[in-house]
Order: sequence, then C-alpha cells, then structure tokens
Amino acid sequence: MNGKLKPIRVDDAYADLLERSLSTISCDLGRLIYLASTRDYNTGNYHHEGLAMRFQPDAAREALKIAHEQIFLRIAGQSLEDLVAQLEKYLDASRQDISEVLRAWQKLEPYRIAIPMAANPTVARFFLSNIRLAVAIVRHRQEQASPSYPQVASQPQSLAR
Amino acid sequence: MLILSMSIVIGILLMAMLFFLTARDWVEKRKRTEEAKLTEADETAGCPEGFVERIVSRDDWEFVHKTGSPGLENLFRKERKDVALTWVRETASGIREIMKQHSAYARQSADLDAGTEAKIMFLYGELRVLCGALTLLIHIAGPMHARGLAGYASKLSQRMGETQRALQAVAKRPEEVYEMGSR
Repeated sequence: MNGKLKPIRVDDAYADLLERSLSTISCDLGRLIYLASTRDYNTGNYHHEGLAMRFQPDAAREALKIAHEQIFLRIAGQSLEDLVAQLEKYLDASRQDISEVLRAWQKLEPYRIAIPMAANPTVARFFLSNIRLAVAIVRHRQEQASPSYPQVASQPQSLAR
Repeated sequence: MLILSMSIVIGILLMAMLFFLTARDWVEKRKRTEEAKLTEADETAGCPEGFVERIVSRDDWEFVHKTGSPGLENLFRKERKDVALTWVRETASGIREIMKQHSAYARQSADLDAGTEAKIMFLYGELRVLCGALTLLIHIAGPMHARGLAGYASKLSQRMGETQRALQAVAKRPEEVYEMGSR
C-alpha cells in the first residue's frame, strides 16, 4: 500500500465502493468484470470518477485494486458448479443474446482481462480454465434445452493461450 | 611545499570518503534488490491456501461427469492437467529461487549452522524429487490421482518459504535464536 495514503481514506473508499457500486451488481462475476473495466489497459491503474471525487484519487485507486483482488480470489476459489451458476446469472442479467455472448467468450476469451496484475500465476491459470469449462457447460446446457441451438464443439477455440 | 602536501592528503581523504559512500550505497541497493527478489520468490512459491486442494479435487469432476458429455469430460481432464502442471512448474521455480537467495545469504553469513544448512538442503532435494514425481504422475494418471502427493508438496514448499523467511529474520537480528524443525 502506498505509504503516503491515510489508511482510513482507503477503508472509506472501499466501503463506499461496496455500498454504492458493487451492491447493485447481481453476481460476483459481474462485479469482477465491472472492476476490471475500471482499470486502464495501458498502465494497469484503476480509475473511478465518482470515487476519486468523493475521496482522494489514490485512495479510490487502492480501494478498486483491493476489491478487484478480493473478488477475483473469491471467484477463482469457487467450485465449478457455483461458477456455472454465477455465469448463468451474469448472462441473464446482461440482457444480450446468450448464444452470441457464449460464442464470443469461447472465441475471444475476453474474461482474460479480469485477472488482477498481482494474481498468483497458478490461480490465474486455474481461473481461466474454470471459466473456459463453465462457458462450455452452459453452452452444452443450452444445446440440450433447445435442439435448434447452433451446434458447435464444446472445445473452446482459444486464439491465444 | 607543506600546503601542497596538505592539499594532496585532503584530496586523498575526500576521494576515500567518496569511495566509501558510493560503496555503501551500492551494497545497500544490492541488499534491497535481493530482499525484493526473495519476497517475489516467496509469493510465487506458494499458491494461496486451499487452491492446490481445489485443483486436484474430485468434486468438480463429479459435476462435469453428471453432464454425460464425453466432450466436456475430455475438456475437463485436459484443463485440469494443464493447471496442475502449471502449479508444479511454478512451485519448482519458486523453490529454486528461494534456494538461490538462501545461498546468497549463507555466503554472507558469518555463523552458519551446519545442521540447519543440511536440513534445508534435504528439504530442497525432497521438494525437487517430489516435483519430478508429481509431473510424471499428472502426465500418466491425471491430477486427481496425485491428490496426496500434491498436498504434501504444497505443505513442504510453504515450510521451505517459512524457514527461509525465519532464517532471514534471524540474520537481521542475531540476538534471536531460531530453532529449525520446531514446527
């Protein structure tokens, strides 16, 4: 943690983040993707306009980083069954064409950007593997439920492993 | 003549002082880099608690098996094997790094305890053999059959990291006595 920060400000920013932003998202997977989206692709720094205005920008950045790492560890440690349930919940809440989202997730693996910078390599690999499996399982369930569902191999076609 | 000699002496003294300060900075910097490297090694050596058990657990396999899809079962086997091998590779590289750092500390230490050093060497050797055996077992039988060995290796690598940290702490505070093997 940055030594210049007052810890109390980070705690306040963190509590505010949980209360105002994260509590409105229906599942942990959604929260993880939301938190990853607050990170700059080039620098890896987190930014949340409202949080930075209410607290110091450094405290807001640290609170986002802590929340991201905690939710990531929670999801990575979940059983595959729980993760599948999370993914179904996330897809339901996304209000998008589920088959299209699943196809994009299998082909592009956008969830790769949800991994925090300081994640342990094995945990990161385990997370990716579990999401890949969860996507394949949900897709399999969709195929079973509706025979007209576009049939594709369960194996994800990763572009970059 | 006297003024010239004095100037030379002062010049030499200043040069010596400058050299001493630069050397001290360099040593400090090097020490800090080594400590940072060691912390990095500690972080990579161990997966957070509970994750190794999750990687080799049968629960997820049973859930996938219930789907009745051979394609999903194959995907699961392949994915878990890759993750387990990643973990073994990370553990092996982590303990190698810890050992490298420990050797650097040992070289600087004035009062090495032969018994402690032998125990560390034995622990390191045991872990290297375990990593080799785990790689073979995961390739041949799959990670779920390597549960016991994986759990043992995980505990051992954590113990090695803790031992190294404790030795490092004692090296910084020589008045404290550290007894290895008390855990």
